[in-house]
Amino acid sequence: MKKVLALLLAVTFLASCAVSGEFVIGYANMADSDVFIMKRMESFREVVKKDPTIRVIYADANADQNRQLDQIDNFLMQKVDLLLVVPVDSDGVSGGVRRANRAGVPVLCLGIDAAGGESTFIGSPNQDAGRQQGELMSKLLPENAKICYLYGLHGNSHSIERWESFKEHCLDKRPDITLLASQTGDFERDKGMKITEDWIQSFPQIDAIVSANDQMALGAIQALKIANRLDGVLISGVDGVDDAVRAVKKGEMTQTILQNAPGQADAAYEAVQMYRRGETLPKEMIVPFESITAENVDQYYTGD
Amino acid sequence: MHTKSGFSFAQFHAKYGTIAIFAVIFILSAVLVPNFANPDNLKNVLRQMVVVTLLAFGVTFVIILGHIDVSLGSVLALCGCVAAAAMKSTNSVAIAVAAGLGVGLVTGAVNGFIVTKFAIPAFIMTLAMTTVARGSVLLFTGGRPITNLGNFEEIGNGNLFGLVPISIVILALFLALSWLLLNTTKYGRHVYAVGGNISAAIASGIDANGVVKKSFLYNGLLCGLAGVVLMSRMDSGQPAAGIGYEFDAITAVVVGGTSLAGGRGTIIGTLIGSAIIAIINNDLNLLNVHSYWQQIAKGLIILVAVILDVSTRRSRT
Amino acid sequence: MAASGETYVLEMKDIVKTFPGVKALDGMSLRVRPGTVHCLVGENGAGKSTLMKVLSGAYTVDAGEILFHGKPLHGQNTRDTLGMGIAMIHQELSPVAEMTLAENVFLGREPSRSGRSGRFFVNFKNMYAQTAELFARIGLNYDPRAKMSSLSVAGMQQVEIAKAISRNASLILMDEPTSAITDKEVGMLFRQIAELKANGVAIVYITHKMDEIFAIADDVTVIRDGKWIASGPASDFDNEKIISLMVGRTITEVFPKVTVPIGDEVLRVKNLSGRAFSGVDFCVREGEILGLAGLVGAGRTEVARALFGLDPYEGEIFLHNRPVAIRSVREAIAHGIAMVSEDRKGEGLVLSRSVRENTSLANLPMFAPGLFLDKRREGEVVRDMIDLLRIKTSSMNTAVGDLSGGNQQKVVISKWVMGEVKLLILDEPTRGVDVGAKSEIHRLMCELASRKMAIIMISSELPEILGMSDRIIVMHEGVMRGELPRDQATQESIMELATGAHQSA
Repeated sequence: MKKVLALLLAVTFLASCAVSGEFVIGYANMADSDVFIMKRMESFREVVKKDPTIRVIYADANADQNRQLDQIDNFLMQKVDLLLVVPVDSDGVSGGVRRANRAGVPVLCLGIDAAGGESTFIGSPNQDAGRQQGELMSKLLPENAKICYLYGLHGNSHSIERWESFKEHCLDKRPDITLLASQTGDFERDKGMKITEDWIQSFPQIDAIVSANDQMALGAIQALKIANRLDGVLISGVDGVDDAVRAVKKGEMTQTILQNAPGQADAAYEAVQMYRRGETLPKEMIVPFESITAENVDQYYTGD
Repeated sequence: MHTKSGFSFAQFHAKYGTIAIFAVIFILSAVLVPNFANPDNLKNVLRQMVVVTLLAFGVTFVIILGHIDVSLGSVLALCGCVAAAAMKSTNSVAIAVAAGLGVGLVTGAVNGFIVTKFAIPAFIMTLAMTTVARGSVLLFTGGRPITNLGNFEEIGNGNLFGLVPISIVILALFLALSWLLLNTTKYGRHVYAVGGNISAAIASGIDANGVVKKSFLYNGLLCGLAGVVLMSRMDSGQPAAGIGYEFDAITAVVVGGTSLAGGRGTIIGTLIGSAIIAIINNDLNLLNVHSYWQQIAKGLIILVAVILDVSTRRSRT
Repeated sequence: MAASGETYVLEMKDIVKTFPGVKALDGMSLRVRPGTVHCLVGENGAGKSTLMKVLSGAYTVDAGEILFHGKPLHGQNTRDTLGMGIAMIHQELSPVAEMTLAENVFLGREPSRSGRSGRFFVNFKNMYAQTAELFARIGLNYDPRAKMSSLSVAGMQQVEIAKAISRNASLILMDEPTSAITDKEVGMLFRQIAELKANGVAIVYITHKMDEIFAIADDVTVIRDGKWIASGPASDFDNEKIISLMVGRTITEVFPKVTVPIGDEVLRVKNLSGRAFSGVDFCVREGEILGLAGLVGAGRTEVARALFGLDPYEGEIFLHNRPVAIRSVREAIAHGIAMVSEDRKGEGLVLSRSVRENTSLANLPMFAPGLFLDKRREGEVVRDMIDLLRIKTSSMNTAVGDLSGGNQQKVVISKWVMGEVKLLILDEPTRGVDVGAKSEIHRLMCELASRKMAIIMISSELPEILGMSDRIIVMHEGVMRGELPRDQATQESIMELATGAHQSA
């Protein structure tokens, strides 16, 4: 029985190893349940179809850094040719990146940069998103405006960096603006909605709700709509998901910052091909954030 | 203890149970938290507690039986997204609701069947169901929300006669139904008997497995309904929604005085437990307590409520 | 162990202990002489268990004085009193079943290893050696490395006693130690008690079995409603005196057997076999009480379980001369068969639920012609039952777990009496029930018989079998050994059949 089992394991192990001539990529995703992250992965899946010699193995860490490190180890065991990681945490992923470095496997970090080890960062720096939100808000908000802010997951670097740079480019520059309240909605729509419902009760006047992602911003819009308070409230989110673009088009949402999922996927594909051609990979490949507002929404709106 | 004169909260609670804790929290909130007692806010709290309370009603039956269901959150997401998809393709609210409830009933039937047929602990079964349901909903939606749902949001956000929110009407209906089932039917008595002492129930001629299956079925139905209401509130099918809702629901049931060991518990208790938690959440947001502190405060308040309940119950017997 | 010349090991004077709403002990006194067995006698709920808990340090008293070896005992916890030499053998033993005998004996004071790290590690070698030596000294033939779960209840009890001895206890309290062990094991227990006595250990022995009192007691104290009633040497008391002191009234008839006319046959079994019994034939008629006698493990309960659809069987069953098959409890109930289980808490009652719910549990269809229960009708019927059976409860909504053993048993019986029962099987109906409730249950049995119910009563108490049965069947090792009519049955004739002596002779 044990022998059969060992044999089976060996066979499956071999099967997952590289067939000669094939280029194998290990894609360690952060969380398949996140809308934007999923969209980026789907885009990559599409673009990689162009090259039949590439095979991609996917793994989902479900937002657990520890699980992601195990998955990276598994990829290295399977002798993948290249690692694509969407880190759960910038510092937490470092150990895995270093192990890949030692094994001579190149690492591409998507969306979040790894703090340690050698890797190529492909993505849009969160500071830019926060800055673009901050710049637009400080331009549009009236004197002595009152606003609320929705954080993402606690301890998540997207969440922290977006907030800090928003604060720097809006609240610090416009001391007349009052931050009424700030709460975490865990990047989720239902939680963003719930918190906004409570804010509506507390504050007779809210001039803007700024959110660390689109889902929470859309929840806020939903809550305001029900309470008939959406009029005149500026809403800003990040990611540029379809719902948010539509909301901007409909005039319900002021701004969403497009994190260009296909763009990032294309850049990742480009980096893979560079490596295969023997070129040195750069330290980072930036895919800029794009601020979508009523002015330019038609470029992005694809219709329903 | 009985010789002491004067007011003691423990005594007050011993006499009036969970409702005493509720009253104290409600009064404190009304006095100390600005805007809390505003009728709009009270309506707001009611609307916010609908989803978790529906889950809690269903799982009350399961917990009285001495079982547990930890799959509520992901089954809710699955049911809600199926309902949203049905809405999108048929544009009929009735079909959407039926689809959501149907999926809930199927998962409930599976849970009940496997738990009784193979005598597997419900914890293990529903743990498995958690990942199966979450995986299914991600697969089914491709991880993307389902949007543009026409008048689907009427269920969660609409008002009956322009006055009473429909979601609150749904809650009231299922409060009444759950109460009637548990207190006035043979089935309800059987639930208490099987949960209190399954051997005695069998020796009284009760089909214990049948009671367990029916309860998981009802639990699944309410889970489906909660999913429909939640997605409708958000006017979209969100595959990632509902994470951790099972713990909110189970906490409400336990704060409401239902014993995890089975045999004891009431629907009114669950309603009050759920209301206590909803009020605390609302208070903390109205007071803009930092969310780190919110988590600590919530944990402590729940712990104190349960300790009070357990200790006074012990001194009563 | 006891200081020479000491008059009393333990003196309790005017102890008062109150709980919200109840005076559990109200001026209780007890004086125990060294090297004697002192029987503490009282009905269930008289305050015996509270007294034990006061002594063990689990409760502190509200008033009164406790002297142990002349020194006041106050505010100690269980660990302290154990260290001082007071040991308890509880009625329901709670050993750690998956640990070895030696580990149980040394639980909480495991011998240490020598050396610097010794405090943290258990010296297993030493522990097993000490236990083996202890067992040898007191004549216990067990392997110290065996699991506790491998022993019978009596075996566990003996190990508990060994544990008390190993702690050098000078006072051992035993709470109804014979309630769950066989007669042979009772003999062993009494021999062990005699040896403890010889070594100067004092024993407080809680019981309400008369024969035991007169077999081992040196002194007797009677307690009623938490109050001291009487004390004295055992020779000053007799059966009737103790009973009347215990219940506060004279019980004229312990077995109020009323003869009722015997009617048609209700049940007949032919060549019935099943788990732990085979080839059983008997019948029972309307108005008849059939006694099923035998030793524990003779297969009597198994016969009852088969008749009630709890266990599978082979053979034929006739009800009112028609063959029937009973495959489940539901079918048995549908045929009008009811059973009051020997395991009251395990199979008879849902302790967390009310008297009302327990009483109506097996008869819910009676109150629910449609979907909903007719609660008013249910309430009326339950009220009638409470009156008929004289169930002492503050209300029908009181949890059954809060009632005394006798009243709990009445609730179990009431559950079946209200339905359309033709055959009632009572398995040890008065075990663990106090004298007052016992005679009421007997009275009720006669009342039911007079309503043409057929009753099968399993009992291990011979006086009960003799007093209540119209006819007696004796079983031994799964086989029927004989049938005796009421007028020919005696203790001796039954025991002869029940022990198999008749056969081997």
